[in-house]
Amino acid sequence: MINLNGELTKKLLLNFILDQKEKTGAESMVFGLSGGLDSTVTAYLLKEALGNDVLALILPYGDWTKNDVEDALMVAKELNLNYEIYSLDKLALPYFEDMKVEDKLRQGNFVSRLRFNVVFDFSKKLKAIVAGSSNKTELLMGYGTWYGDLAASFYLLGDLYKTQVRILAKYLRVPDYILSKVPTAGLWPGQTDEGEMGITYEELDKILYLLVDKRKRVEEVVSEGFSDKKVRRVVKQVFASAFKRKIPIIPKLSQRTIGADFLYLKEYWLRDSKVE
Amino acid sequence: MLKLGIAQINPVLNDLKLNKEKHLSLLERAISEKVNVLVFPELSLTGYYLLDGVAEASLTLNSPFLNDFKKISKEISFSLGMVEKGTDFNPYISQLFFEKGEIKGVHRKVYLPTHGIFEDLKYFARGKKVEVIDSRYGKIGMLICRDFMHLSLNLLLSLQGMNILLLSSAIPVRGLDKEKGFSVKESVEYLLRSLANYLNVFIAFSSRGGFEEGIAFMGSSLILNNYGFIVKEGAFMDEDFLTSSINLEDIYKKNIVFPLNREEDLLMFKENLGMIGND
Repeated sequence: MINLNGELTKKLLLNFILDQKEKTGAESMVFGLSGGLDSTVTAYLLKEALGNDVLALILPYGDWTKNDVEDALMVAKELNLNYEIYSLDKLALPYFEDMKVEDKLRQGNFVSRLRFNVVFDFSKKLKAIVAGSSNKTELLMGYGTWYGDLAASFYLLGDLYKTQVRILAKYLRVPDYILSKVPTAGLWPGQTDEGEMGITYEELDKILYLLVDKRKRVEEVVSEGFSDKKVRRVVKQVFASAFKRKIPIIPKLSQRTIGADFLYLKEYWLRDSKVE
Repeated sequence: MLKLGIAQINPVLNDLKLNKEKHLSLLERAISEKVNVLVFPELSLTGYYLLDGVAEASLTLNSPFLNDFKKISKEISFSLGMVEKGTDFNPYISQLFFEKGEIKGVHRKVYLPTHGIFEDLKYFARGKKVEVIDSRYGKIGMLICRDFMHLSLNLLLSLQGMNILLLSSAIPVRGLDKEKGFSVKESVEYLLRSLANYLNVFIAFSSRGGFEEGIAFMGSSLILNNYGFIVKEGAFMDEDFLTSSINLEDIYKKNIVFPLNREEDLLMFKENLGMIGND
């Protein structure tokens, strides 16, 4: 069963944030605050770990996310967060007009990538690293914009299903006006995650948990009461989105190829000092 | 009476000099607190996930880099973990026991997990020997992480008359559960309590804390008495330093009333072992 130990999860995540700051040498962290559940939970954790060394970027577009912006501002004020607010209209609209972009998914992805242009620009300005808010459900389903909201130094909530993020949010005393919101990627007005994926998070998380964490086969998951069609659709989506979770493929030519047999942790560093 | 200590540290990956300073300062602290035997975690000098950095981080047992440790071991006995470049020119995950100015014993990790997030056998050679060390503080056995989950290795040490078992670990915290917390912590406690009780040994389990690329290490080091009770527990995930006084005479007392060790029939065991796998 999916559950969550609030106390230990919080401790691990706070320790992790401090560890990342120390190991990367970053002076602070920046992140996109949308007013949704995931980025709000991220805000609570970053604020508690880093105090003033964190900046929330609220980056609305059009009136797609009007209510969310208000929520984001309320969260920022509640937590006494440093924040900047900047409308992406001036950047996005001329392009959509010139290139006649009417497809809402193209527009949504474009805005998402613009948003992270701004986030990364601030990270350079502040010598900061970028905290991502994607959760395990989204990452497995590939439900995020590649090099858009998926661009980050780390995914703080990347090993927590949406259901667990919700439990953690309650543990952290995230306000009800955030908890009760319908999850949306904010790609276009009225868009909802569950509507777009055609399944509720509750059901999706149960299926993913059995497939991934419990390593069950499709038939075993179906035997636990889920529709065969749904389970197969989820599995298909998980594998179809693998490209978003890995570095781009490199055709192997040399004696040693990046991503294949050039293997070091990100925190590995060749020290100056010779020991012998 | 003698005092066991555990240095539950968070080594910096591949920074041997910095880690050495940390070791020496904790050894100084242990000496000032009259600790007799101090235990550092697995790969305490190098960090755990070295991957392609193994060769860079390895040391031979006669490396001058270890001289400071030999020197300080005139005042305190201790074990630390490092990558050993063997005389056979293979890399090993080794735990070195320093005492009276020399390296008194070496345990090379026998069981190298290579599944899931573990890749030990991809990078290291396997140890082949399990021997107790004749320390000034009794017979000491050392095992490294996965080793102690194999009952066979504990038994080999026990049959050699082990009094104190020094365990060194880098255990990733996995399997978060609402009721049980991290399941690995509970299962390690079960195992160690049983080992201490039924082998009639004292256990000092040194388990590193900190992170390596998002993998949190458990910490939660333990000192257990020979009745299987936890007498000291380290902080979860963080660094810590713990000590506890023990009395080896308790082993004798327990052998009198609960004589498992002298019941053990080594000859019968050997004969049966010889028959297994022959059919």
